[in-house]
Amino acid sequence: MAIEIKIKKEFETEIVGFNGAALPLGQRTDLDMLALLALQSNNHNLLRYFEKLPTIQELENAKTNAFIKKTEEVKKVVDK
Amino acid sequence: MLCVTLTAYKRACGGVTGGLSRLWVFDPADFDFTQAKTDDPYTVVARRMGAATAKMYPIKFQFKEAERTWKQSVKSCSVKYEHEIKAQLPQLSNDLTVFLKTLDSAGCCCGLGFIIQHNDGKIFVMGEKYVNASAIPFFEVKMDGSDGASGKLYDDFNGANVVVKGDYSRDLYEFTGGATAIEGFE
Repeated sequence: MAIEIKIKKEFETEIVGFNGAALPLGQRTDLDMLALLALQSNNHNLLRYFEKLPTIQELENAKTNAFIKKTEEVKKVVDK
Repeated sequence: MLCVTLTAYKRACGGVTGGLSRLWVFDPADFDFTQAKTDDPYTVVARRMGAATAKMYPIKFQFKEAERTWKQSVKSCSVKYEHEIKAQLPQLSNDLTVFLKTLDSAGCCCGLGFIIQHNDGKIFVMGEKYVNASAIPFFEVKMDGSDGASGKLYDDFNGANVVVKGDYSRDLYEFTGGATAIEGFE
């Protein structure tokens, strides 16, 4: 299940450098990673970008589920 | 363990290369670095509030002519790391004069920040001021000891050897967000 992470409208064009890219926040597809780093570090400079933030636990569960799903998909391909 | 918690130093077996690939200078008051926990590498770089137009300025040095060095010393329990970057910038010119003037001014007023990409791909941060939105102990970096020459012969070096120095209490932390993350601020 995908987690909803929303950036405040005024920060959609904000450039933030992480995970090998510096696209505006409104165009990024790895906001879950930024959200996790913002929560882990309690960095208010990053936390201010988010309209809605899940908890660290929710983010880590989502990461685990995504990994399990990917592993199962790979297994299906290998088993064919 | 009874006295201090030490850590191991391990790395995957493999070669390593020397030298610097890229160098950027920035105003340390403009950028904030994120560190998930103490001694982790920096993972995110972002402009601070009020620094909407702040930039990372690339420094185009002569290939194979830039180096980062440091020297640790201790007196009693007081530890010092003397950091230094040397980079050869070709051609004496008005642009170079202006660039050096800005380094002098910034060094005097607020210090300089540097992002250093090594040829082995590692990226380090020097002179940063804000981490996790908090001011860290002052890491003052300034230009000190640069020189330049026109050369005498056609194939002599014409340009400046820029030297920046800064003392701190530790070696530099790595930035693991990648060089593209820095280029986005150019």
